[in-house]
Amino acid sequence: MTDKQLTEQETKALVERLQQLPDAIEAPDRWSQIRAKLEAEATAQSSTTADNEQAKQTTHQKFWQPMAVAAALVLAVTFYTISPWQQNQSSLTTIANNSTVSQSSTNHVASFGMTLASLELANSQYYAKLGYQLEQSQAGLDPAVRQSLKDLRNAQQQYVVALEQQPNDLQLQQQLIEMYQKERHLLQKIIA
Amino acid sequence: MQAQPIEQQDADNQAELVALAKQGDMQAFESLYRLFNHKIYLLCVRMTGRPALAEEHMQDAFIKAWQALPSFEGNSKFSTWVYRIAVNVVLNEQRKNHIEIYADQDWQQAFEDELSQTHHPQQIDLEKAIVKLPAQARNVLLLHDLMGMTHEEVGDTLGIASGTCKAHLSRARVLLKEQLER
Repeated sequence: MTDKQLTEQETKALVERLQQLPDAIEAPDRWSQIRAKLEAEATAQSSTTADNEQAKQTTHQKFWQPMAVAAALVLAVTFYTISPWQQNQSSLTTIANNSTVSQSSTNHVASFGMTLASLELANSQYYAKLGYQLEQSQAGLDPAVRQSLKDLRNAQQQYVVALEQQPNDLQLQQQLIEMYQKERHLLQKIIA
Repeated sequence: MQAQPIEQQDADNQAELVALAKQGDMQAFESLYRLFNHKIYLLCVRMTGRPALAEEHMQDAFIKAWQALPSFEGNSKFSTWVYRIAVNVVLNEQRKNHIEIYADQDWQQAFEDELSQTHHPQQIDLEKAIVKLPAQARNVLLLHDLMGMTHEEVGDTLGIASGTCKAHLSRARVLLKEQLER
């Protein structure tokens, strides 16, 4: 390093000269390149984020898939065991058989009685076995749907009362069956 | 209603542009680029002595500024903040690739051409003398005497003690004066 020092006056003069220099010059326009780079980086970043998300999802899937399959199997077996369709299917067969084979009113009443009982049981099993899930769904249930369920249950009650007075009324029995079936369809929709 | 002074209006506009750019508004950032690119470019030309290199550094500085915008808290002026980014871009490059300036005839001509629109001949001579200084002395002189940083700030930026910074500055001024007197 040089030992030479500028005097205060020389320093002041030099600094003044320096500070009088322009602070800008005509610059080449690089905006389009800058923009292109920024956009390319943004695209790369978003695709990296998407890749990471996908990788996360894959890991998530890897972990959950066997569990989901096992759970689905258990559910399917349970569902099959308690299946209202199974019971309803036999009930409907009973209805069909009843309408074609038997004309005797005693058999008729007995068959409908069994059908109604099995439908009622099926729907109550739906409520009982899937109660928690239903409760969860009902927490955010559309008030209109909730009202429909309530109306169906009221209607069922009215038919049950009416049937107590006229146990042989075929039309009442069929309407009650329809109410149970409608309720079941609605429950299935809510739970789905 | 009393009109705002132009400087205040400019500052308000800049603050608005910065706020928009921080939200990802590319047009606002372009406006900021157009406001400061000429200054940043000159800073890079002074630090490198090479217009082509300065152009690259200016571009990198704005790209880095965009990336760092979310962390800009507005404690300093936006211009000061971008200047610092540009200085760091050039310094990093200098650390990686130590490029000496060969002040031959071609270089002189290219350098003069670059400044001829804005500088008068004496100022061009002064700019050339700055560029020919040893790198560390040149950087200290630019940051202290032209950008107005304190010795502590220059020391922090360059990674040297403030005492060393003072010594570099004194040397830079002497060398500069000697070159101008030749």
